[in-house]
Amino acid sequence: MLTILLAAAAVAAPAEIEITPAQTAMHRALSLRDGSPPCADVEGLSKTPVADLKFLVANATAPPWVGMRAAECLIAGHPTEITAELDTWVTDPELAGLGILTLNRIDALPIEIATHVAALALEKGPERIGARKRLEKAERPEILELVKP
Amino acid sequence: MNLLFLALILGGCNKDKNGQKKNRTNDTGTEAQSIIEVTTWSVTTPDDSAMDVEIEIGPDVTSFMLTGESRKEVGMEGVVDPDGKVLLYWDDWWDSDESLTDAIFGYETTTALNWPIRDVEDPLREGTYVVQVAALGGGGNYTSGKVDLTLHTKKDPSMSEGKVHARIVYTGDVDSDPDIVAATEDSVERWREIWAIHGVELVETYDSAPTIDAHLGFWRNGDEALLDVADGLEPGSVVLYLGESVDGDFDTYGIAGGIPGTLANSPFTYVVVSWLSHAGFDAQFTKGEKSIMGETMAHEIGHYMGLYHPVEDGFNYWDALQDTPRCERRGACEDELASNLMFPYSVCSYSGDDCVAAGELSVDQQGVVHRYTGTQ
Repeated sequence: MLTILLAAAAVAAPAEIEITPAQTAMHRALSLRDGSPPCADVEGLSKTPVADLKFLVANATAPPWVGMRAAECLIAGHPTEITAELDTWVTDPELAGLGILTLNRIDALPIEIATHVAALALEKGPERIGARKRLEKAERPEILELVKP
Repeated sequence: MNLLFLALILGGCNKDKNGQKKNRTNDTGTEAQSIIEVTTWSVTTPDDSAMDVEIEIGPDVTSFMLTGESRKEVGMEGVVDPDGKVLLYWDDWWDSDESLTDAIFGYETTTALNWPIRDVEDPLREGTYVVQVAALGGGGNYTSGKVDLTLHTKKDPSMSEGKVHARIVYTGDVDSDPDIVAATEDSVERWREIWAIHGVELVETYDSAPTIDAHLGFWRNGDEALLDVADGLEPGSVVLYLGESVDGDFDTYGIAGGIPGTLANSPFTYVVVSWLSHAGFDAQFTKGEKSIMGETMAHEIGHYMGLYHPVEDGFNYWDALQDTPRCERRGACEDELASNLMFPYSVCSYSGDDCVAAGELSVDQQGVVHRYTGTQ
């Protein structure tokens, strides 16, 4: 295994951690500059794709799009397994990029999760993520209802 | 096969059919020092073959770009010099594991061919060149179609110095965030630094396009709305759109409208880059992230100017240049090419800003950039 220095994305203190070959392979696949492979291809590199994608979101900071794309794969394919993370992404000012991504993909979430996350973002989301203006672009009436004037 | 193509070319060279060479309009750059000339006209292709389009090359012209726009998909299938020598033939490259130009494929309704591309191609000389232009229907079959043609030519013998005019366009309300504007300007400085090493001066201007959605959904099919943005630009300019995402997703971080991209004002005249993909999880740019976004800008414009990845991520396709290594394994490719501007991925550790700086170009890659007709 490769030992790397973690400069925390979602956690505070740098620490030495070990990453697995599967995580390394996923990181490489997501490092393409023009665009990344489909989520299914990336997840096929791991026997525990959800855990490894979560690892990348929390720990991979370079190149900057790796964690964002990993988060998008989680939103698209595993929303029920990341409900706690979604709550954090739309409320923690230090994770505003993930918050913006979540709100832009609100229509991809199951409606129960989507309405919960949207309401939470409107109530507690940092100004940086612009919750209202992003949710006003949602397609589903349940979300639009939340942003009615 | 080449002989057959040659025979077809010779048989059709002198025909002036379907309006070819008629009603051509000519324009030149608005600046006195401009060395690019622009000519436009239209042709209607036959329904069973490509059409020979004659290109008159005057003295001292060093590169030309022919752009075809149509309701059909447009392919540029070949180039023949004034002596009838075939310089480019689509079938030589169709199944090749090396890439020279996307013009032969006919995937889009706007297609551009820049010639010459490499050092191994003969320099242009005065005379009549022929470009085979095809309109393609379903399944890639020939079909009759009106094709609007734009010819850009330049007189620029220098392979070591040049400048490129770039318009950087903030889409949606991206420029309402001063942090993004500041990070963009810093990224452009990295882009400028990279190009300067290779003898290309970046001359940029900034613009806003609030009516173009910041999720840049146009990148697959182009957008007529882009015509207004590029209208009136200095001939030879390239246009980079900065948005929040590309097509609303985060699987694409930057993309060029073609390899090469057209200099004509068209729905495909664009390079797009996502700011949020480069700012990452916190939506705040670190110094390293700004540097990477500058490299992405230079990388995508590099595609637009005709550069391919020296090796694709599967390590089984390469560019057609002679001085970029034909490596076949990840480790070897990273050892030789990780610092190359056109390497397909950023080589980074997980942490912080620790990525290999990617700004190098080989001599042959520099040659492609300097032969691009937009490089003046």
